[in-house]
Amino acid sequence: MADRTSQRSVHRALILKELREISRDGRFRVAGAVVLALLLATLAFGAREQQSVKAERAAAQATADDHFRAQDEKNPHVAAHYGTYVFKPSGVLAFVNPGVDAFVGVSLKLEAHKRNPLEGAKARDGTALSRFSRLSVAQVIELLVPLLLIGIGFGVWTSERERGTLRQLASLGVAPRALLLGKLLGLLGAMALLLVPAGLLGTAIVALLVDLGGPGTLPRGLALVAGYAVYILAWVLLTLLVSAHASSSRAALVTLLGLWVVGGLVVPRLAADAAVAAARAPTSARVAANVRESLTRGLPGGPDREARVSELTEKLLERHGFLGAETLMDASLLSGLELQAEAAFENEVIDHHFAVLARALDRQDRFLQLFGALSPVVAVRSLSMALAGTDGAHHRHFSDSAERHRRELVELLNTEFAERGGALGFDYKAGRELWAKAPVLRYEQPTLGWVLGRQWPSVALLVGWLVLAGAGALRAVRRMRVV
Amino acid sequence: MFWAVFRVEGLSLVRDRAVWAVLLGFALVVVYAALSGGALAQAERRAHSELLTEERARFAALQDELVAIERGGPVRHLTDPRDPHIVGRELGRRVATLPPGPLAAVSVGQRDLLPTAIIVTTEARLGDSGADDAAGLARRVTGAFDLAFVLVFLLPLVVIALSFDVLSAERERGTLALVLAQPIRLGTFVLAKTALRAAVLLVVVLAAGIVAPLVAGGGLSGADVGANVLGYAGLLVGYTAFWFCLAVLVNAFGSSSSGNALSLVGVWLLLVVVVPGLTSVVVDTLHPAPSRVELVNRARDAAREAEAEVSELEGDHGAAPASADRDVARRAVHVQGQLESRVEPVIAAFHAQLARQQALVDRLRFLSPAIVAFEGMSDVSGSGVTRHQQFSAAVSELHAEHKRFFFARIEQGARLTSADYERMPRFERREPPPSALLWRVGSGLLGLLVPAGLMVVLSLRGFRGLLSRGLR
Repeated sequence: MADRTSQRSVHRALILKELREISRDGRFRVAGAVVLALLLATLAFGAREQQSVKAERAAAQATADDHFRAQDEKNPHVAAHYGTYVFKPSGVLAFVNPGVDAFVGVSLKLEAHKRNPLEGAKARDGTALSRFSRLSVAQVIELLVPLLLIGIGFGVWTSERERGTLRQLASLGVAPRALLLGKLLGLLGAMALLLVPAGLLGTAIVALLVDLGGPGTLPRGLALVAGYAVYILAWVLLTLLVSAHASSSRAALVTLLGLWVVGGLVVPRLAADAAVAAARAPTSARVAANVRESLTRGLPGGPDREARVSELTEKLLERHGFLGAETLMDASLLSGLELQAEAAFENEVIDHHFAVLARALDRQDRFLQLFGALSPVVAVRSLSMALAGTDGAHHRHFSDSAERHRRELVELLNTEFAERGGALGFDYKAGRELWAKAPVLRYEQPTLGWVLGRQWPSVALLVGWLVLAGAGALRAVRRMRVV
Repeated sequence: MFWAVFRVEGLSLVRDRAVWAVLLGFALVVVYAALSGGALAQAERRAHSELLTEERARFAALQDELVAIERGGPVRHLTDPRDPHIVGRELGRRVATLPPGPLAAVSVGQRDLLPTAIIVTTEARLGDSGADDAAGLARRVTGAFDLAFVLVFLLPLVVIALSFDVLSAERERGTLALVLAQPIRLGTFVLAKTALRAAVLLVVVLAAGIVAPLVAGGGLSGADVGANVLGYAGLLVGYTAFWFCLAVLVNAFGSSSSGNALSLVGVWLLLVVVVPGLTSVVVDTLHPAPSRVELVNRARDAAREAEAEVSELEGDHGAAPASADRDVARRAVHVQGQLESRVEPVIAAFHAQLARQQALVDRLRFLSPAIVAFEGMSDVSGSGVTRHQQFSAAVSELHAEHKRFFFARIEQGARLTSADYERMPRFERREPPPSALLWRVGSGLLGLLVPAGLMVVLSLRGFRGLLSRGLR
């Protein structure tokens, strides 16, 4: 009992000593203040940006919906050509990690016969400098915090050894595990001084400025915090491991800086480069050309356009009980059904070619995640973008649901044409009561389960880094020279 | 004495395996980056030549068909080569390309975002869709592993690794007192040691950094390769010199080797990551890009009736080809004119704002050598915003000429003849003169060399102070 109490007081003394030393370190004070300031600035800036983006897109969406509803009387299919626009809403957590957002389009024209690309990537309207160095909350946590950690922690063992205090501690019979725990909690305490205020501010921003979004925000936010906690803990242990292993403070510093440069700067770019080169995906222009080609010739290996469209028309006629009795039909009903059959064929073609693209991009994504084995930065970045809802997969998720929405809209207009047009054919005109019936796109981000289902390699690799660094640190401390 | 130190230091450096490892590793990274950038440039060239071949074949076919029709052959209405509406809008589309520059492998710049091949028709040019596709998204977000990245980010770290302890190690080993017992000044000693390291590194950087991208990029045929390579080499020397001078300065005022390394990495972080990041925030805040989202609705709003008319023309499936009726073609021209006149000011605002942003970057670049080097590399590799804007302006000119040519004939109700085909406007690319490039890069170079010189002067003062304090 007494033993445990004394052990606890030893622990407490060790932690307090570490914290005191770190907080008295002038370097930590300056660098810590800079990192904290950058963290708060990026938080505030990100939140402001996100708010304005959100307001702008909501207003734009309202205007676009109004435009559609305020159309003059016209044939429903002509209205489908006139089409409407949808604007991609930004996710609630995008202010933490803007991810791909600046590099993908935000507005999309929905019209008959075409799946248009999203247009208007923000990065295109900026200088190259804005891409050269983009500071975001995620960048600060993923790169600057570990660097700060290295700066204060590289000599955590070596300097004690160089000063001779390590020998004293050893002679007191303090267990290596207790020492490690003391150092670990000391460094973590120092990081907490920075990250807890930033975390509280982030939570406040989500709660006050940005509305809480769907029910998915809280689990995503918690998962994000957990992911970053694991990441930082892994770096703390890595720092302790290298410092315990190194022969001198200088060697520890050089090793850690080398790891940071390779892990934080080189591997992520190399990974992206390799993933894009290895898992080739067709370019948008290629996909568009393939779709165009298949629209005139039919899908590869399938019937040609005319055969397939008439096949689909027959099915529709059969469903409506008019097969073989086309001459008895109203002009509009026949035209409307033909338009539906045409749309169904177009959708088959679009689905086919976009599925090819999606498979290639998924392959690319998985390939990229594997590089998390070489650097925890890659793993945490991939996970964080996914949780913030700003990775390529989320972009495709939006694009797919916008496409489903387009089909609903076109289907509604074509059905109306077929059922109401009577003998008028293309002369039939519908009015505002039809435009008012147009569906409204309500986009919901996928669930946390969906995210983790795609990101499990990153999660596993991140935890792997933590476990390996922890085990390595413990081993290194047990075997550490004290003199 | 300088040369004696140079020689001795050279011998000890040659025996240092760590130095070899760093240099070799760096050279490999440089070559990899050059190959990766070169592959992108080559792919771009292939895509361009496909487009241009297609254009030539298309025009040849149109002219053949025209001759056949003139000789009494059959006319297909949808692809009538005599119809100015159809040819201007679709069949006679022109391809304008911005080929990768001779040093394209150095920097991807904005080339992976801004279109380098634009199709020109008589239709309104509302913003060129192009390079922003999903296939390379991962690379665009992280940034390409190109030479600009390797040289701007990693080269300073190699310099730091080679020289953070150029003086402090001698002090810590106790060899400095021995050295200074010889008839040599401390300044000369440190400068000689540093000069050797710089010379060795520069050999690697210049050899690998210039030869590899020239070979990999495959663009040696360009006319002004000389100016580009000269500017690029100047940037490499200037940027390397800056960081070595900084290392000397830190050593002159510094303490332990670890302290020096930390200070240098701190300055690196500040100049390469923080200052450029904040600069781009300042630029974005002072000259915010107009909103594309707003543009969509403004264009839609302004040209609502016009667009409704156009979709009326298109949505009417069963109708005869639009140009069967000359009035329809005229109306389409009119409708489009309305649409353009309302949207053009908004588009112009985008270009103007981007030009203002770039002008501000050009002034603020002197805040950090990393910005100077990065901007300079974008310029010499021909992937900077300026060259793209000039390209876009030239495309606008072609677009205007193209429209004038076809719209005049639509208004007159004229048919295109073989002679017209010879007169059709084509794209003419104008590259800025090499002197403009040298001026931009040269002024940037001053932004590297002046601070480097100042740091040398300060270091010499630091050495004197160090000696007067008895090397403690």
